[in-house]
Amino acid sequence: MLRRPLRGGLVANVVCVLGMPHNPFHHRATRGPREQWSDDLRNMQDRFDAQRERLARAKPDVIVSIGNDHFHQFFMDNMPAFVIGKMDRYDGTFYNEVREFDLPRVTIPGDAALSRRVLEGLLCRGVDLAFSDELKVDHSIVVPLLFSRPQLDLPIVPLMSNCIAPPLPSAARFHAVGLALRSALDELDDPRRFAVIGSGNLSLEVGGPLQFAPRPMDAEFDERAVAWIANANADAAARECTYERLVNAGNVSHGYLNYLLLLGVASDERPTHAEGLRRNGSTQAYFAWESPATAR
Amino acid sequence: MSRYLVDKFLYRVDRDPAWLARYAKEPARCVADWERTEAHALGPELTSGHAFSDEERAALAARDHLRLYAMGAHPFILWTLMIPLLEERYASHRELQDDYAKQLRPFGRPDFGT
Repeated sequence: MLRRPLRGGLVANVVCVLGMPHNPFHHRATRGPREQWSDDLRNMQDRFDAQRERLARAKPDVIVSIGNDHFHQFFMDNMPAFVIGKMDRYDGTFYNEVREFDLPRVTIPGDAALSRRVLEGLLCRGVDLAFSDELKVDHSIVVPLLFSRPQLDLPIVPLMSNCIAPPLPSAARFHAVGLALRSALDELDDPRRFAVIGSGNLSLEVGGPLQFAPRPMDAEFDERAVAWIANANADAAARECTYERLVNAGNVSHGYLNYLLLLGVASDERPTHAEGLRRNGSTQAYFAWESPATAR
Repeated sequence: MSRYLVDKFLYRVDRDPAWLARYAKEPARCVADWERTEAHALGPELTSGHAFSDEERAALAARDHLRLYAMGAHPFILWTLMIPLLEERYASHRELQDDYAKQLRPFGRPDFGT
């Protein structure tokens, strides 16, 4: 019902959609002198730099920022499948992220009135999001912004998903929420330029028997997962990304589902850029949907 | 038994420097104190739907991460708490994460849903 033909590229006021990892170690790793970086680190930073340039070219006024809370604000006493923040200002990063990753404490502007309108638009479309008027955002929101918009000057509308505490929403549902979000954004009566940034991961294990193995957890999955986005093949992704398939690729591989949500936000268009960057221990995904006017 | 309550302990202690310091110093006493004062707290209210089994209580008191993992504690929450508790035994974070993973291997991937 929400699929619309958009073969002419991005329209309306969504000027750019970007997907990138939220690797919490990257901030500390890139603080040392660049000449001391490993090739892996340099390659990864090059991709973040490219995303930052794409975002700058799109000249956004607002960022809809999609992440997934890692047991920071949310726990199993009250676990939202999807939750939207509705504030004029957000604090970012939690005590144990500062402790383990040396991430900075940040404040990011918000737009509560806009969040409310996006929420209403989603509720109208059958997506019963939870909302929070006191949301603190973790590294899944903060890290992508630190590397793609380090000024942290644009108001965000944060939307967080549950990728970590099973049972999770289905892959098809993540995608459908993305389509509904795009539809809601397209119908906002708001002249501002919207960018959408989503973060996630490919196959990944944290706290399990194969964590941070010196190779991608599941290289075959990673290749297919990038191709599903590159070819805008949401149906295949939704069919294959069962909970069990993802957990077998690594116990936190469900972060991939945020990229399916993003494909929905991009109205199932093929991205203008899609890459799975192989590095030691993991493959890092970078996706971009740019409008023809700003794509290079 | 309550996998939820085990996760609640791990989650709350990892996110509170005062409780983390107590768990690092005197784990058995910390678990007993937490069970008495925090386990059933829901904001200012109390709940009664969860209780530790003897095995869960003993594993937490012993900081036995292998038993906790095998019982289905959430791997992400367990790991993030174990980093500050175990890291001083290792020369680097890399060594800790590799050895931790190796220790878990005999246990495979237990169901960690609640």
